[in-house]
Amino acid sequence: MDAVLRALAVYGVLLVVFRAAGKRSVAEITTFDFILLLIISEAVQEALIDGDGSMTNAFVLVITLVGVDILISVLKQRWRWFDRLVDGSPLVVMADGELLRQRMKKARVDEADILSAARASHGLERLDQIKYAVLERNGGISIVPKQPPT
Amino acid sequence: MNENDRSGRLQLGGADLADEHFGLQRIAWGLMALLVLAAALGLFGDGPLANARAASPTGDLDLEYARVARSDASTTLRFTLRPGPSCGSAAHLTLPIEYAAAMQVQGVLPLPVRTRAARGQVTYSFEVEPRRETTVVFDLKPQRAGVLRASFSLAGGPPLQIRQLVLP
Repeated sequence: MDAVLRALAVYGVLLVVFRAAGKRSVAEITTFDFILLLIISEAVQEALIDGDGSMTNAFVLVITLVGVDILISVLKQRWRWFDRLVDGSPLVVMADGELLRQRMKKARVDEADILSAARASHGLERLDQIKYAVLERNGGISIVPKQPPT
Repeated sequence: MNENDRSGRLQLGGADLADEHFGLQRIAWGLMALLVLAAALGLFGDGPLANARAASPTGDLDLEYARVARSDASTTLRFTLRPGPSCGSAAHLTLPIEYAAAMQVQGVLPLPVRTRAARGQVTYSFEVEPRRETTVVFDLKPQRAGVLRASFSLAGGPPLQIRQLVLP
């Protein structure tokens, strides 16, 4: 029973912490973020295993973690509010060529991030070539370029 | 038109297997839910289904133990000793040495005043208050998986027999 409760507790805490940390932390992972993730996984591993090195414990933990993940995905599909609660919503940070600075500040997105996404996805060179920039639920920035004048 | 037929001329290797796959996936989800429930109840150790009690025929020895334990994970034996008036201030608890080795005794509380091994048995002697119940806890860490049988006795009295399943 302990293994199931430990897995549920760790899943819940990680879900809340990573949701609170915001989308940016997952999408644009830096070297330091990567190291931080490794440290977190080490810390969590100890809490999950709790000195029980048996294969049975490992299987119970894996099945519980994957099971709760499936359950959350089913609940997200069933209830839209739950989906938004867990994964958030896309956020428009540039609309009709205009930067929405309040939102950008809250979402910790700057012009350089938008330009970087524009270069990577469409090979755009300047902000005035962008119609919409959207901070997606997965943390990536998607770009809708302005249509060139015909 | 059925949704499943709406692939048009799109070439999808093995697309016809998708429905079958989803069906199997749902069955797997059900099995996983059952396994998690069974684990929470203690079918794989550490829960209400795993906890067991046993008593010797004369009632001088009670034992709370895990019916299902896991290899390389801590488990306990909690004995309640009720030594008779003839035992004085010493209670002698006997375990099969094979069991003690397989379960690797990590600690005993209270500490025994004496430990003696002879004829395939290990005897722990505890200082107790005469005619008073005493609880003794053994911390164990099973070293191998399998079914273990053991019989314990207090001062050569009738044995208390248990069977434990140690999962890998």
